[in-house]
Amino acid sequence: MSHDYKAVQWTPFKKRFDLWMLAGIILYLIGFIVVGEVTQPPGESIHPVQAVMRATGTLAFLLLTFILCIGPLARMTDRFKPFLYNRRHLGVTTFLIGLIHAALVMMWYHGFSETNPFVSLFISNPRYESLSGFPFEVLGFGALLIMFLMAATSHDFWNANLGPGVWKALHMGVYVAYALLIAHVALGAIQFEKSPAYVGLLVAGATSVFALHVGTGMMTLRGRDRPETDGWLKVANVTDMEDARAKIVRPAKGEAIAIFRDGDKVSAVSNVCRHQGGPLGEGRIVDGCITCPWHGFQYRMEDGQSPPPFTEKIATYATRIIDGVVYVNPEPNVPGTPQTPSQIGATS
Amino acid sequence: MSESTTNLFVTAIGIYFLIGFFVGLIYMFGGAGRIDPAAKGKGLPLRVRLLILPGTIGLWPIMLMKLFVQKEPPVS
Repeated sequence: MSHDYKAVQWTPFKKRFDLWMLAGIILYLIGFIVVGEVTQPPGESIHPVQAVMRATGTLAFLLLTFILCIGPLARMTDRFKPFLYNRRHLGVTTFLIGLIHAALVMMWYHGFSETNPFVSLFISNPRYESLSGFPFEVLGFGALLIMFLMAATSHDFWNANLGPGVWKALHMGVYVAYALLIAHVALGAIQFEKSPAYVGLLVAGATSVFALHVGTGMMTLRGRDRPETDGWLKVANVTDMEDARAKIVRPAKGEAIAIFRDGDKVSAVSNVCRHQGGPLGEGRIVDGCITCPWHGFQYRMEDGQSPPPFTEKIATYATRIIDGVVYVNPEPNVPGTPQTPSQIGATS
Repeated sequence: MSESTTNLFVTAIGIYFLIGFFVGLIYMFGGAGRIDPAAKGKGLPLRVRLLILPGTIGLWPIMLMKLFVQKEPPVS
């Protein structure tokens, strides 16, 4: 919805979420440093700066792993939806923790020579042909650079002005960043650390992300709704449709469709919010308008247009009810096109 | 990579970000409102101006081009 920009669109839930996140981060860092100190073999002490470096490094890896797991997990269970809706704050936090890790590395390993620390980063270890001695810090630098671009463009202003397509493509870079991060850890910490915990962490993290994505990808492929003989997709029995809520249908081609019931009327619109691609079908009808669960953007059921003075439009779809079963035509109307809702109890 | 090549590379990155910083300042103080009516005047509070600065530093070639080329306001 066109409106004044705000630094953060705070809601009471978002505030609670961020407080819990901050508390978790502080607990992890303290716990990691204390446990590391206690379990350190006698005579092998590490400097506090190195301890913080390891704590922030492992935390950034764990957070990024979790962030990448949120999407697939939220498709499997509603329990992860709150994390999905607050992924942006998690992402920016992960970048900041990675930045602290990188700053400590630059200061500790490259800050005390006469060479520019950034030049030192690239030339201090020239063994690019070696696997065990690879200059892994460069990989971490690459990952951090991608995460910087993502964090820096996470505000609504960027989504609106880069356009949803470019913005989404840019943010898909998280997978490149994660691959670089895995290589950074595998060729770095894993080569020096004696503790098997690091190997376990890396393997478990990478495997979880891969398995969850493959698993939910296969679920989506299997779950693609097949057209009925006349091209209409079966949605659900009217009695199974909760009032003010939607059923989501995924056609073989095109965007997912959200089919809403509002009293005795049934209407269908694109499941994708124009604001940030939020899942409209997971929202509800408030004051007669479909309301996105992410940021509260609203659209009228009958024509997919935001109520005035706002101008956003989404595609509408034809619906029909036959023998108490709701069907949707997967061919989208031009965004903003009026579409008469189907009436429950009447044949449309 | 030799030290001199690396020096050149790092300097180039530094110049890229420095130019980005100046383009970011242009965006903070008026440029954003020029490409996006919702970001005009009070539509873009100081805190948001500061938030868009890092992104402009990173993506300044795109944003500079938008400043001169973009005629239509964004969708939302």
